[in-house]
Amino acid sequence: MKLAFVVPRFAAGVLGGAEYHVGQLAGRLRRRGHDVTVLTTCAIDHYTWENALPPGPDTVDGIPVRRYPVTVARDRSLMARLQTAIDGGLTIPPAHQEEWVRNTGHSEPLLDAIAAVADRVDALVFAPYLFASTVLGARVRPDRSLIQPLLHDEAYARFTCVQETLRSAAGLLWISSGERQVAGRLIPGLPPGRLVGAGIELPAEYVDRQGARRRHGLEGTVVSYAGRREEAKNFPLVAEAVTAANLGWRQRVTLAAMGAGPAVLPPAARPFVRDLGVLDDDDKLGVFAASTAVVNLSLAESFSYVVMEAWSVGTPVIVHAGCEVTSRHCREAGGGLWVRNVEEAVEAILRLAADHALRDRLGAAGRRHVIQHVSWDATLDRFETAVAELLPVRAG
Amino acid sequence: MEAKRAAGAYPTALLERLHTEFHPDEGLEPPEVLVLVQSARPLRSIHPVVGGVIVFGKRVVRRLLAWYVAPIAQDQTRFNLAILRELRALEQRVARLEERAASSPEEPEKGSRPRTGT
Repeated sequence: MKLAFVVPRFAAGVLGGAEYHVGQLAGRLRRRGHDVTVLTTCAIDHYTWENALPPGPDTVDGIPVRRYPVTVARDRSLMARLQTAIDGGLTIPPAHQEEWVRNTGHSEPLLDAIAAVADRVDALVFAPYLFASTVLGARVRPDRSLIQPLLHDEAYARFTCVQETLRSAAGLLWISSGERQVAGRLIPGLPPGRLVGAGIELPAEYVDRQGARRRHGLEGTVVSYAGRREEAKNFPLVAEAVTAANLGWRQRVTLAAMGAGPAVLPPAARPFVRDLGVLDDDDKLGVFAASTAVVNLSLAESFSYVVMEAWSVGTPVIVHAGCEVTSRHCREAGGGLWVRNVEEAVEAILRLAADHALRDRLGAAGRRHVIQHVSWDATLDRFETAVAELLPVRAG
Repeated sequence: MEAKRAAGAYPTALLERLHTEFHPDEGLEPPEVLVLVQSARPLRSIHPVVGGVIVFGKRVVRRLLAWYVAPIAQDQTRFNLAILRELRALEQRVARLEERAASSPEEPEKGSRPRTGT
């Protein structure tokens, strides 16, 4: 198959679930023998959208990439005003929604490139749903466009322009059943879609948990967090739960926080949080294995690789009951607990710390789920079938 | 005036402009876009020679007063958000009531007392 992936950013070191997912998918499809190209912008930073990389051809992890410059400069004042309204729970008018999207790395040359390659590929695959590269890019040739939304319940999913683009695509590729359910609830009249899923590499049976504890000086009850340490991912809530366990419940619990950027914490939380920064995959899995639980209270998830990675080393997870995707994972796999508030999060941590048999039972159930359902081979098979079914006749 | 117009004394483009309906609100941004009160505005000076010094001076004053001005702006933004959320909720409620009233004009509103006129 000949495929062109269209993403807003694509470069080594760009952190983010969507970028990681597309990198994995595109690289593995290429290794299966498919002709894969990535079309993207010259931007790296998804706040400034400045052209940081040179335009033209490039290669990232063996994948051919073509970069196009962002041509609409970000209007910082307008974006600050729109973002305040959006974050404040208001619905901005459709014309301003479109303006918001045009301020997320809009590249006119990228649209020209999409038009030029549309008839030469079996599918244009756009991801994630939100940015200009998808919202405006998938409108260029909707008949050749498949969108992998990687969507969760947030204000942007209610934007009129976003919903119009998703409705007009030839098909949608879902990463989880939870994502499909959320999208169906928020956006009526969606085109046909297929559940493609995602995969992870299963680590060896033995993971060096004692070594991880030693290396990072972790003692006693440890829970871990991995990902962006920011409010949008509810990281402060995780820190609050650990602080409450120590100060309110008088139990010694340490939070091993992994991820890029500074972990901004309230002073009360600092003694109980160990900032481990960015770790390599083996080290991260070692910390997960050494933890009583991996805590992910984010509501903004469409799949959550972190949950799967935790399960891959037999560690249970604690997730937010309000997140349809992660709480559904837990219900389906039986690999974790879902909580509604800080008090329940503390109780869940302490219960798992006190009851090792329960902790191990949940972790084992999670690992079984990953072995049975979350493999890259099965994901690539489903992806190939989905493209063949949703775009059966190659145009031109 | 009519005679002059008929005689073609006024250019057609001018007449078209004058006959355009008058909308005083046209071009106003919706309130959602005006919620944020920004305490820092772009600094400039109209003086060509000493402009740079003046802008620098203004920047220093702005930095010195930020601790006092910024929280007031933030409070006002929070108030704007709260009041606009309430306004939009009321708007939706009125729309729902109007829809209900339009679909069943004869039905008395739930909970209303039967009229007992004499």
